[in-house]
Amino acid sequence: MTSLLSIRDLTKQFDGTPVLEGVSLELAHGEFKVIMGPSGCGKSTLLRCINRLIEPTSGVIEFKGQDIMQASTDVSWLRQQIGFVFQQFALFRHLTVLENVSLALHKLRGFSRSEAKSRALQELAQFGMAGFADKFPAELSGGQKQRVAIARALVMDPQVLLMDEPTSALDPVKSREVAQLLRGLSQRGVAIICVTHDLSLAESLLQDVTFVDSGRIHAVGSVASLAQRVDDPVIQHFFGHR
Amino acid sequence: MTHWMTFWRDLVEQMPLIAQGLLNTVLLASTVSVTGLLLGCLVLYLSVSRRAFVRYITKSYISFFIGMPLIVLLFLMYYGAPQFGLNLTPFSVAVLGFTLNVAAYNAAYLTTAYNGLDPVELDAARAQGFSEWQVFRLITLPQVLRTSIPALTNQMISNLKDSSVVFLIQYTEFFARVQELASSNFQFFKAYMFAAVVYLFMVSILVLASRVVQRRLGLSLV
Repeated sequence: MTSLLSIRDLTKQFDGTPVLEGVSLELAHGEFKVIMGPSGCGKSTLLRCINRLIEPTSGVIEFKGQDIMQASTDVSWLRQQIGFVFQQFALFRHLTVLENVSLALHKLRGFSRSEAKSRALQELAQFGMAGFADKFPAELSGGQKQRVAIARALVMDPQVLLMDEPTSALDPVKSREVAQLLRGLSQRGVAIICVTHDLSLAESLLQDVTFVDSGRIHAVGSVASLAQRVDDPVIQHFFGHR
Repeated sequence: MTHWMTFWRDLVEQMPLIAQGLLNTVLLASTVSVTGLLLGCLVLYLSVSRRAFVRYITKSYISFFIGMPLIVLLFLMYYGAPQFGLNLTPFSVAVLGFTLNVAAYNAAYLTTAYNGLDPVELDAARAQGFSEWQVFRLITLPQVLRTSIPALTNQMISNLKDSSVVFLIQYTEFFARVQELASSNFQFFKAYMFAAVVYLFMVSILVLASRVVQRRLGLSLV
């Protein structure tokens, strides 16, 4: 598989404090990558660097072979290619579900208001949320907000989807639903980077896990294989007594 | 009883002038409410700039105009500026002075509402590909305006009431006409009570309109 996203030696420091140190990873078309690690290990910072919400201190990020850190990069175009679903969903509170999903189509892609809403409604229907189109975010449950946030990202037809702690605000039942949803998205051909510290989510995604600690990639493997590394204090501390 | 009759007769006689004054008051208060809001939004936009220098300038603007009494500002522009060859009409001075003053207050209200926004929501908009201006126009501004409706309404009420000071720079608004009425028949108490009732009536209309807007937007009444 050719690489869609390539990250090499990425570092990020906040006021001299290193948060990411020499992180390198590749993401192919349709690949599903799970990044796991304790809180504060730099997982979310990594996602924000990929989307250029944060400027890395050094390193290279290439998307489709193009260095996205170049000044000539069209950041708006880049962000439309790389969808982002935030930890707390971050739906726009003053807009309805339908407006949340259709806004970018209308304002960034140039669709007429009615065409944008029609497409948004189709996307919402795929996640069983069409019936909630006229609701406001405050009227939705955590799981419903999550689905709307994913629909909002996918309606732009991105090639990569970044997901930051998608289950942190959900109960175990909803977490399993999200895992199922993510597997479905992967089968749809969307390349996904999912950041989580939720072991049960990582297990149910049935993917190899990239384990990050203190800003570095510490290990790669299945959840089961990582759990068996009894001689690795970092992993044992994270996995606890399993 | 004769006092009342004299008062009412004079009131009816001078009603065309009083009505014109009332129109001038409404014109001034509504104009500065709009211009003060527009400038306030601009100041908010600049005050959340990523450039520290721009933020410093806007914060200084807010502090300066909130700190300066409006009457001093009006006198500076109406009586002071002509000494430097700058002659403005009373209405222009009133609009300019009020706008600078009201915008500073509005910007402070809007900034408070902005500080209550979820920053991740703004990041979510950026992450979708919206420019900073689009994030401000489509996400930030609609939310801070809604949250600020009670404060902005209070400011509009203040604009209406404070407009009475502009008679001191020769702008003949409602209160100036009421003063003329009072001094023509020396029925000060009745004349100023009449002014109070009219102001109260206009303020009530503003409050009711604000409540309708809040109810339509589904906001709780404050």
